[in-house]
Amino acid sequence: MVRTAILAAGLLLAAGAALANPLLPGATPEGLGPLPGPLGDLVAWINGLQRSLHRGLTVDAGAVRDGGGLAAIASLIGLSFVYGVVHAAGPGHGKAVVSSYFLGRDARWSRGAAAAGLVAGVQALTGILAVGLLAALFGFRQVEVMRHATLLETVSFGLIVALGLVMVWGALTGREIHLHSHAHDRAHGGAGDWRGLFGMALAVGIRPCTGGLLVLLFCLANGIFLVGVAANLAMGLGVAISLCLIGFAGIGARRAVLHFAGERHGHTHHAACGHDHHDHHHDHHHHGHGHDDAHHHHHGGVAARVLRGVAGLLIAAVGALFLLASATA
Amino acid sequence: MPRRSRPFALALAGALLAGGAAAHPHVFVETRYEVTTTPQPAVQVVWYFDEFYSAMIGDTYDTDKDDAFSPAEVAAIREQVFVPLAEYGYLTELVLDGERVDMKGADRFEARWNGKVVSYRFAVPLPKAEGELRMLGFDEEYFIDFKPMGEEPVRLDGIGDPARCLPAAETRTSVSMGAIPVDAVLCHLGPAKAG
Repeated sequence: MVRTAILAAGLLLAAGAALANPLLPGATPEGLGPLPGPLGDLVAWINGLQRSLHRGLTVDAGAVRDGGGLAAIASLIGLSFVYGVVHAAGPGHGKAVVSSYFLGRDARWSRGAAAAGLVAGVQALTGILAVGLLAALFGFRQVEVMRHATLLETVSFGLIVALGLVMVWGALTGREIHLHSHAHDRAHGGAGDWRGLFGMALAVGIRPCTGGLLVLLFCLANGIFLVGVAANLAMGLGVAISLCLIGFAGIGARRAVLHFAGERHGHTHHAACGHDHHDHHHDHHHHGHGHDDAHHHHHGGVAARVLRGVAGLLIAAVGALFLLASATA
Repeated sequence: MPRRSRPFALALAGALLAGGAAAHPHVFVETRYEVTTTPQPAVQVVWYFDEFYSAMIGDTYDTDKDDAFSPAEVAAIREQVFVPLAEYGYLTELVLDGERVDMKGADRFEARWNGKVVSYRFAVPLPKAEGELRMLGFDEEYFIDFKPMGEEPVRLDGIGDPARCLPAAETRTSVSMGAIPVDAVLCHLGPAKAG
């Protein structure tokens, strides 16, 4: 009973943490209503920061255009990096998906970092390719490039819904279906695990970053496209760092919930803390449900499955809301 | 609350604006309001765009690449950007003596481009040239951020002292980000008083 209560509280906390994610307010069609003072101040502060960063980017890019040379280029790239870090803190860079993804499955810390890098990398490359192909190669007018890049956004939302549904399916059936079928590999990090990460990175990252597109288009219009590419890569690195922290938050939240629920987070803990297999089973035995084979205790725990289901639902809901919003726009 | 598509070009892309997927601003506008009395009382709203948006609009509409908009190019922007903005009240809120000014009369659109910055200008008729006038720009999708210019945010054509206009911090509710702080300008219109 006590455990059930703690589990419920933990899940609520985890869900609350996910809901507190800035992406979800973004998904609320009617907004959140007036923010209380300190939050309003925070929004104002972030706005001011964004404004000055954006202005800085235009100034630096203008300086490169006007023959500012290496110093201007270095300044633009450095500022792009900072812009990436800050910008990713706002809605729309997959924070809800990344954090929920790791809420829903066992993963090492290093996987959180890998996922962040993949998402940011895919996103940077998508933007560069979109502008490169549409504008430079096919001669689209810039406004048209922007409009077409938007199609990718819709694709992204659709993929996010699919990702969430796959996770919910996994929670309901207790199986990992394809994404994670060999999770009990000692090596852990089998092909299925990576497939899941790549899938998520594609779903989230295929939506190009608007700020990055703006820099690319500006550079293209002024004959300094390669500088724009470098700036976008730097921006991607910044986004990756922010997303990495978000991924860690998801992993940490999951570990906390499973810990309080009395479930071990399987191989992850095992790998991270160097417990050997015997310890692991022993612990489970103590908690009274460690009789199953390794495969089961990774994913069969009630809390782990509920977490996965909640995470999948969150992801699917986020994707669906955005899809709906973009369809009715 | 179904939302119809945003004006071509100003929006950049309709879906980008929707639902808050890009709920932080990506277009930055500095505003200036010029109150004139002839031929009739009106506010000239002037928007100066940031260089990224400017470059995009310049690249798209400056078809002869002379770093200026010809009348034909302005006409294209008018049709594709300005006219559709009517549905959004031109993203501008004018309140005179507590009454919202009808934006339907907004007209006389102009666009300029010097190779670096694009600016738009349009006139909104006022019912009278006196009273307390509050002026602000706001995009409820919060894709576009409006801010009064640092220098000369207001010009008053002999009907008040611009130096005595006050900045007013207001709050508006955006579709996706909740409450957003908005900078308005508050001016007293009327015959300039001696002393």
